[in-house]
Amino acid sequence: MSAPVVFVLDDDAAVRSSVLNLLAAEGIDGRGFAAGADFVKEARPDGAACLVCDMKMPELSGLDVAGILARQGSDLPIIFLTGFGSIPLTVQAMKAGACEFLTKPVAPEALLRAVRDALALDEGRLALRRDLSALRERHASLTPRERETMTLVIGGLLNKQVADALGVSEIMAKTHKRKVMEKMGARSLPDLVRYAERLQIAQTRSR
Amino acid sequence: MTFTRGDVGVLAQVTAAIADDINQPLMAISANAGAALRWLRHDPPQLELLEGLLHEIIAQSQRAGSTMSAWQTAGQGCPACGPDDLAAMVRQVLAGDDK
Repeated sequence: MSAPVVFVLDDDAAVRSSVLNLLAAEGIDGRGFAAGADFVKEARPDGAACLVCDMKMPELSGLDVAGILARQGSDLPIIFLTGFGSIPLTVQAMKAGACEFLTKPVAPEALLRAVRDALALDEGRLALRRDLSALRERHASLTPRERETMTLVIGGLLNKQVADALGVSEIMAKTHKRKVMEKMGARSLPDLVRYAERLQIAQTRSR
Repeated sequence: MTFTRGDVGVLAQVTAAIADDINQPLMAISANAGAALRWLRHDPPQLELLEGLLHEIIAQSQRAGSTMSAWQTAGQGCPACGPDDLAAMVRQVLAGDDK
């Protein structure tokens, strides 16, 4: 698995490099950006990642960057840094999807703790994203007939009812069902129902 | 002298602007010192890296000092000036920010 990456977005060169220095000393891979416009063009790495982002920047502010990421459908965890914290600003940051909001100067341990928490959060989401894409691939490997069978089976239909709905013999219906279970990697019907829910597949009929 | 509600608002803005300015070098000092400690405890200690970080800490301390001096210069004769002058002062100091 690829090593986690921490993006550091701050227009102040001294602050940016100091945070990168701290990450490097802790053995964490960091990548610095001076402007939000450059960062939002950056592709998300394969492994876990998070963003340490200054709030007050010329052109795109920290909140602007968070807004762009949200519109891109990104759930990258964000740790906001601000030179001067205020309650309205904190509320705004949290609404923008911040997982942490820290006021400069942040103690090194506090910043590293926030970074580790954010990376752990992203690692968890990564596992879910990977599972879902594996499930999608398995579902894509089904034949149209098997897909149809799946939507009938998850409604709890008996083999005979599935056979009638498909217009095939009961033996053929059983064969289709077995293939669906096999290809989807489902050990039981409840397993298959859970997978269907995650793939947002609706049952066509229920008993 | 007496302060009006407007003065207090301006004062809050000035305080926020100063905090914003001073906290940049303080942040850099804090993070670089954290990095320096880690390279010191490293086996073997990475003294070259440590030296670079200490130089940067000195530079950022100087930066904090100059920023504060700029605010002090801008603040001279302040009790006599009104909210408009204060706002102008804030803009002047911010425009002179060398970051």
